[in-house]
Amino acid sequence: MTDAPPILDVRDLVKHVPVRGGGLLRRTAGSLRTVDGVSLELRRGETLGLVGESGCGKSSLARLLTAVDRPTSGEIRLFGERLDQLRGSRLRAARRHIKLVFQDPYASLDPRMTVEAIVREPFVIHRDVAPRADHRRLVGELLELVGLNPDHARRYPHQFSGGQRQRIAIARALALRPEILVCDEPVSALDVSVQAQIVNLFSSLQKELGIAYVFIAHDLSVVEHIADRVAVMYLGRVVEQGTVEEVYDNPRHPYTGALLSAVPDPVPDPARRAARVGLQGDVPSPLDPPSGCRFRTRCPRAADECAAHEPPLHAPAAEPGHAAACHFPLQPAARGTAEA
Amino acid sequence: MTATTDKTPADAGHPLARFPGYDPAAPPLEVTDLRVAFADRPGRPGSGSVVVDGVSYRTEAGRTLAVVGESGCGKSLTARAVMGILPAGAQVTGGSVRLHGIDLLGLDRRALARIRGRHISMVFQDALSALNPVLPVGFQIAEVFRAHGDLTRRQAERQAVRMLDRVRIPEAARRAGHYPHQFSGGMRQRVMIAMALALNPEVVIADEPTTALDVTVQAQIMELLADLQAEHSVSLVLISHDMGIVANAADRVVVMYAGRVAEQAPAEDLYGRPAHPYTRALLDAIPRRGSRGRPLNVLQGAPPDPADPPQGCSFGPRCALAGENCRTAPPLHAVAPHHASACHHWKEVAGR
Amino acid sequence: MTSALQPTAPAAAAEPAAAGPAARPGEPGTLRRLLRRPRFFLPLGVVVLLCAMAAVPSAFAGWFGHGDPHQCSLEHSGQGPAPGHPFGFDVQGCDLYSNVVHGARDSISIGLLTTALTLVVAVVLGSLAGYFGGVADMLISRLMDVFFGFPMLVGMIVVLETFSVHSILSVSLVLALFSWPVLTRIMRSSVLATRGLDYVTAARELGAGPVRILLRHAIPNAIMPVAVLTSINIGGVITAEASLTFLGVGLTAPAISWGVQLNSAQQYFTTHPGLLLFPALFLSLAVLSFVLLGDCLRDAFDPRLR
Repeated sequence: MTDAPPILDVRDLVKHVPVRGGGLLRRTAGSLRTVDGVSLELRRGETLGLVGESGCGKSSLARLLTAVDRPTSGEIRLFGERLDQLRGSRLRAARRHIKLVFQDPYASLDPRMTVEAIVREPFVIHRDVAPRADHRRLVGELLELVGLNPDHARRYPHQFSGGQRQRIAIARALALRPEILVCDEPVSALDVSVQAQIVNLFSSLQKELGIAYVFIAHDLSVVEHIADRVAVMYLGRVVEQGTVEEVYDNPRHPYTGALLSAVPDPVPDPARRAARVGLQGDVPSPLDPPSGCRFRTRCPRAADECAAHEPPLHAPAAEPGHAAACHFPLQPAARGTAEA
Repeated sequence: MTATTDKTPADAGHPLARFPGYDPAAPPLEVTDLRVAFADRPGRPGSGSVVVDGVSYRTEAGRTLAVVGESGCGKSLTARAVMGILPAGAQVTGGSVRLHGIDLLGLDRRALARIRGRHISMVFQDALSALNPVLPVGFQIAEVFRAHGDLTRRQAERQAVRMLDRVRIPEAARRAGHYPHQFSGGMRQRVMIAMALALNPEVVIADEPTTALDVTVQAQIMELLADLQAEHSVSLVLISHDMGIVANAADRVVVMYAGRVAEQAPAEDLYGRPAHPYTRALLDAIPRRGSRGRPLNVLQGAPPDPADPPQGCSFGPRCALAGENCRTAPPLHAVAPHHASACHHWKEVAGR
Repeated sequence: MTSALQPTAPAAAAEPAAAGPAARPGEPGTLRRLLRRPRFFLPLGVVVLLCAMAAVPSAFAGWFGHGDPHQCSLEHSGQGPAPGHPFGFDVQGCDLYSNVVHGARDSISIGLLTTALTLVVAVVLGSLAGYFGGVADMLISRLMDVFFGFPMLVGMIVVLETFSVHSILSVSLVLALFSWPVLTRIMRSSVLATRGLDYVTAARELGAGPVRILLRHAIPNAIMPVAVLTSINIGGVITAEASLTFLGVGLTAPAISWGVQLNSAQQYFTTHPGLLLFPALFLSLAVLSFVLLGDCLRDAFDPRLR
């Protein structure tokens, strides 16, 4: 990537959610470490893919990045400004630069508002962006930009299909011309053919408007298609990070390897079907993550050292951009499948 | 494993032999020209939109038949019609469903209840809502044994623990006392599978069994299903929208679109030489290695509204190859042995 | 129909919905559409009629006879229906029909006023408790618990005893004082549920303040269960007023309300069932109509059910 400073710079981000126990006293039973020390960078116009299984903290991270939730500690710098410390009108102004697209287009649109009212809401909240007289025209332009017929602006969300609803949500997110879109599983609720339409929309919007994406998905093939760089999360931590080619062709963390091998290829092959060895067990509870390396309980390579010391995110000299948090990283030849 | 079911098909003492039409040589499940329609107004079931329109497929013992298609294509409704659990307002308006020759649609409620669960069972997508939250899972599995057999409570509970063990839930005896919410999503799906397989049914229908699960867990569940199937030569009907999962699990694939079968073929044929433009579009829409930087081939538009189906080929309005002759509904053309496509232009598609 | 197809997959629902007949241009004429439905216009007609009766009773009372509820003559005491007096006479020899018509005013006024007061309190307190949580929620919830734990009837009797005048206003205030917790609790849980939805998060993420979120998103989407209960509440309040009056702590004669009439009928209804029957009939009709109307309005104003 270029040497320009990142437009979004996240350092050691932590979010702990206290979990209350039952009973009258409602004592704090512990804390859910949804995001536990994440550092990321995003440059102008690039797409950072964020993959991981449910409970790995990717959605919590999305809410932190868009200032829906406040981090417990760590910093988020948006154009050099500490987003996590902003309040009031300065926070509101900063929100224009980074917008969130939700997973479920059935839940993210107010069912009682027309499409026009939904897409216009950003202008109503940020009054200085555009004079009231221009709102209708701007809404029409936005709908057109995302491939919807502006004549349908008076309809209600329930009159649209899932894919069209996601387009409405994207139009709303684009209204304030943000430089960054954080997309939290934006296509996983959609059918395959619709999913492809939305993925293409994201690509063309990036080309047209130069938006940078933080693209969160559990579907590795979608991320491979759309992302420039990828970060793999496991239990609140980034365990591997690098360019798409580096991570997909040559995973260094055993978890990435297992994740990639678990993705079913759309090509029938009876021989491979029998041979595939997946990852055993479930993700441990983020209430009580394992000591040392968090992946060790499911890792075929785990050794004593893994329980004792948490491996740092480390990039070898040969691949300075490709970091993995593992004491015993995979070697180039050995992909995840050969383990176990 | 229940040791109560003798699986020799020729045996006259086979539990299915008392039902009319039983034929051990017939396919485990054969759906013929099945039609399901919704009510267009309450109180008149079956009067409105046709959502399953002449679907036929048959399964083989020990094999997996996958039914793929996007939401609303009728794949789940077909399965629900087979199980006799259609939602309110929907009704079978034609066709037949035969289990080893026994016409399930012609059976009365009590006879159907004896077959369902014991000879044909279903695994649902959402295990959390399919399980009763206030009963321990062991108890719920034991109920299956008790409902269909003369087992005592204790025997049934022992069987339940064995089932949990078979679906590879660690510490089965202890976990049997746990409630559904104490299990992870993958473990709950295992419990569902244990319930579905408890009585060694001939046919198991799995409706999107892994859709709600993570990829690594998904792989585990598919592996478990494959192993259990091989052990008991169950005939599995896998309903899925995921072409990747189907590719890795199915022997034979039925592609459904707008309530009809678009294409039907052995898995390798279907993926290797699709002969229907919809199948091809589904395959092209999947991002894969090497598709970076290029837009994905997408299918424009949306499936037709079942209340207002297009004339002729239902895929016509979205099809690049559509011509004059597509105004008439295409029959299933035989592309190759065991490979059929409902497209007038199948030669062009397959030859591409 | 797609939701029935895959009931467990909210996300997978209704791709073809777009092509469906639902895709009509904007929706004017909600009222016109509603007016075509008997389920709506029948209760609406009754409610309008009763309200008109409450507003100008004299216009209705005189249909058959003199129409003056206070023109009584003991010689008619307890007589059955007679020409000009379709419902007959009460024990005082007053025309029962005109009494029942005049009774609508106090009964319906109390019903509407109490419910309006309750609704305002419920929406304000329920929204605050549900949306902000924390200390606000704790205070409001505990206050509700206190009222829930209190024997309502005893409370109302005690409070009403301290008032020297038992007017429509005082009775309404007392009824509202003891009926707000139910609606407030429902409003609170409804707002609480709405607050966690993605579109509320989306508004927050856009930078909307709590006032806008509450007024624009949370309250409109959360109010439906409360609105439906409100219409049921009108019926309940009218009944409660009747009960209080029956116990002698509500309105008192010479005020005319259905409650007062039922109260005076209690001693005579074995001999003169009409005294109980006619006010009770109007009371039930009023309660039923408000309930049905509320039900119908809920459906009408939910865009998803259009």
